Amino acid sequence: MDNIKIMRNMVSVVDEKRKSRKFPLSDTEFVKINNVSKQLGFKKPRDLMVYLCCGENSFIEKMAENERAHFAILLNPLATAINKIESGIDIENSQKQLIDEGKKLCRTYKL
Amino acid sequence: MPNLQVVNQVKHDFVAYNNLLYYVARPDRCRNRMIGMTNVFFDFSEAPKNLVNKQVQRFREYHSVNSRYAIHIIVCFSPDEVEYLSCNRVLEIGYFLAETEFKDCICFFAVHDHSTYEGTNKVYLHLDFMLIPFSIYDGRGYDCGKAGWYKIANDIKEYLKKFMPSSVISTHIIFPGRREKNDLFNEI
Repeated sequence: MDNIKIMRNMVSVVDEKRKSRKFPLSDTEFVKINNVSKQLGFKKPRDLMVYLCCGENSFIEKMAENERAHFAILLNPLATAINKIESGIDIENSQKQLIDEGKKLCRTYKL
Repeated sequence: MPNLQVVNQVKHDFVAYNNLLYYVARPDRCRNRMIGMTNVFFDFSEAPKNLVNKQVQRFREYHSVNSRYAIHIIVCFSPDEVEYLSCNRVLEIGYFLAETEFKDCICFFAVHDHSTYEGTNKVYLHLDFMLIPFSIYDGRGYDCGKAGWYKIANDIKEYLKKFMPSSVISTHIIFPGRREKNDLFNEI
């Protein structure tokens, strides 16, 4: 639960940053993706990535260097899927990939 | 005709590596921030060197990779082809290229508008592509050689056939050091 609290604090910072740029998705697409992220326990899709990638994250910092790099490898399919969704390319398949890979990751690391 | 240019291979020079990152993401030519990337987390609010570099370095250390840093590729689309392509479609071609040919590698690419640069009213689009040529999963180096580039050019050509008649498409490959008058290495 502590991890989730830290993540929520980070989310508010990220949201401020996001206001400054235009999100290239329509409202309905955005709602769909939001729902997917909430299923994974995250407020927004990118929050999962930020939560996992940010160096100041206590969860990440506890990891050994080798484990951290291995963790980053697990994240890559998620990164690609989110990048594609943000660019508005192949949204259906990318969403599916995001759900599958995200669930797998959350189960592995008990997030 | 789309020209596939294998422009440059940046060696172990951190400055050159960063310059290439900035060239690909440069805002003056990059239409509507049309940037794509695979196997890397990227946030538009951060500088590319903070995110892409950091992640590449992490993988290099993890796998003890000692190969070259990056390859710069440009796929140029002529005005005839751009009639059938939107910016989004060009970005999609970038994802196609990254996910089929360089599946294990970190790729960073953007759609550049070169219309004003070419000095005409016609629209020229470039897909600027930065490839980190090692596998993030096992650290194995990636070197496709000339035959590999021909295959890649052919694959792009096949993919373009979905969107435009074959008569519009023809592919040339340009290798580094052959940028003079007769730089069109061969027509496929």
